[in-house]
Amino acid sequence: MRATGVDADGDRVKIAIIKKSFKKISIKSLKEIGSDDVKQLYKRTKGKVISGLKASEVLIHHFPMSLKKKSLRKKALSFQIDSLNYLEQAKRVDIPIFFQKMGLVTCYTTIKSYLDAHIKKWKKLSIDPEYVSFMPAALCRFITYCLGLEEKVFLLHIGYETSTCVLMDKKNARYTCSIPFGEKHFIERLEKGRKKKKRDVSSEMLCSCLDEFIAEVEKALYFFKDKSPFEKIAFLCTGELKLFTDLESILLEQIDGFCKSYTIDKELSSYAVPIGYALDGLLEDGVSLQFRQKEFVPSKQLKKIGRKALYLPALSIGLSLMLYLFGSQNLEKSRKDLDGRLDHAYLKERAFFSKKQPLSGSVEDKLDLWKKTLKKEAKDFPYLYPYLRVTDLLSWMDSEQILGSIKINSISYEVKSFPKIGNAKAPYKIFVEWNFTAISSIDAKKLHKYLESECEFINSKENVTLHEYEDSYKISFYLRNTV
Amino acid sequence: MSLKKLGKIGAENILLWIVISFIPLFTTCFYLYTQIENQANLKNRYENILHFAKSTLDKRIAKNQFLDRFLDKDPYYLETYLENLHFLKEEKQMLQDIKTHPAFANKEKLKQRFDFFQKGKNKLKFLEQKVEKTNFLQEAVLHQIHPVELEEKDLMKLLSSFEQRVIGSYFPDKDSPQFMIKKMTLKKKRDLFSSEIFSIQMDLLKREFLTNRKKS
Repeated sequence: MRATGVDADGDRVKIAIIKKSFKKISIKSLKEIGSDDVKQLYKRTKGKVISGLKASEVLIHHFPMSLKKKSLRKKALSFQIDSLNYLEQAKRVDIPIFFQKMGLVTCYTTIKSYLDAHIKKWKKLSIDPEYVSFMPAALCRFITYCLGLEEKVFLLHIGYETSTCVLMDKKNARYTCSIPFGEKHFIERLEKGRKKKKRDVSSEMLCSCLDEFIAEVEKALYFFKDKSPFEKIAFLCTGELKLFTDLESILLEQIDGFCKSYTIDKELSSYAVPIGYALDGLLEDGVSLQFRQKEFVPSKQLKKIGRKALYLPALSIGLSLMLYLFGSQNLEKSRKDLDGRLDHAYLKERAFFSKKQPLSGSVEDKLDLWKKTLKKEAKDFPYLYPYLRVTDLLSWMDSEQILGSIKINSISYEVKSFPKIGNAKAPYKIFVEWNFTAISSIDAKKLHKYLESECEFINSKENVTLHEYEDSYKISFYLRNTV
Repeated sequence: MSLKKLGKIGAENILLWIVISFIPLFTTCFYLYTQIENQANLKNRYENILHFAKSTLDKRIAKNQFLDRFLDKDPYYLETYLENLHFLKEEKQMLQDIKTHPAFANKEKLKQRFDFFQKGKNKLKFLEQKVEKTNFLQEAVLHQIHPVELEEKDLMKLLSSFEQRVIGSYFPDKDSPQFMIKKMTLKKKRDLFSSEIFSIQMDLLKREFLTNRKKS
């Protein structure tokens, strides 16, 4: 994987191409050119182009955060960031980074107009950086890459027009400030001296310029000391150092707060910013800063996202098709199985009625038809013999022991109510009357009592009536309604 | 829609895009779910119908057999067979045997009894009183004009015919329409030889089931 860091400082554009393979990062190329043909330098290389905002274009806020849950933190963050910024949310881009070990949030905020101007500046050079990082963060990346320092370090990057001071702590830029002194100012002073053609004047002017510069650095140092207290601090210089023979020694000598200095190869440190940009974009870890968000997302990336976004509906349609085909096949199989079972069951059932005509139509039609037929057939059919017939009566009389003590002379049997045309639901109601003689009235009364209370053949809801005549008895009752 | 616009939608409203993208999948899942539900309902309906068919089979077979048995039977069965029945055969035979025997003094009584048999006074005779008809059923109330006398065997034969029952050695006739004894008076009597006989008076309901019946 490759990344190209680009840094425009004055008329010059510095480019660093970095390669990462299996966690091993190597610098492929370092170039410095004029701003005319900048694209040709990197256009053959693959990977993204990374630029960055200057220290003066980004505000850094630190605030504590004890919430561990990401969703809750997100809600609290937007509220806290709003309270820290005087600019409304629509006009700025925020990048909050949560440091869990320290319980601290560092929020990097830039104004959209700065970001827009930055992108437009690169567009003029026919470059559309896909990643816009932050120069102090890039410097920290560079130092970490070269020296791997964890301690607090004062970074001084000398640029062409301005210089940048960064307080680096635990590999991250804690505080930054810009100094309006750069290589350009020193060169201008030298040029002025040369024009006066006096060596002493030139040296004097350069010395006064250096004193001013040191005073600015000292201010930055005390600003950092105030924000993050320390006794003495190590420092490191990067950027355009070719002009100075031993700037580190001068700074150590002149500024009381510095305890020691780290040194990096001057050639490499002059590319500190583009290398740092490339590293920031290449690593894309939790502390990488990408300001191209929302409306600033680069078109190349948008197209990439668009291409990826197309995969989703394609995947969805593909899955739907597969699911539909598989599901339909299974449903069809299941339907055919049900149809077969239905036909078989229907024919088997119809065999009892010698009607073997198969059903036709869909499963639903067949079920409807069968149900309709069954409902018709299962209706109560009143013309069967669901009542006690004369033969039942005679058979019962023959088996009843209590009738042995009396002599029945005549039997009257009358179906008083029964289903007929016009009233198919009428119940069967059978009235019976016996004319009998008994040796004593006790036998007649016994029979009456028996029929009234014990006999299951009688409809107990109706009265059993006994009439006594001179030489005979008449008993009448209703038979029970069902067989 | 250009890739850039699509990318913008994807970047800004990733959730919306995911939802839109998965609409076909959701739709297919919903469609298949409804189809599976329908299939389950069909299976359920089939099981219910099968259960209903099994639980009502005996009832339906009985009804079907009943209709097969009584469909389009001889409308003149009563007149052809039952009204021509001769009852009290034993008494008649005994009368025949002693008719010329000189030992029987009470000849007048014998003659009267003989006439009762000979002149057809002891035959069933019904009068059709009330007829009602639908597409598949005709009902008629038949009133017995006069009571008839009969012995136990005759009674068994008659009841077997009217009530479609096997009684002793008597089987119901398969050609008869359905009869229902609507009203019956059965009296015990003694014949000339003091044997027990019965006098019977009936009202019948004749049901005739017709081919063009509406299956009910």
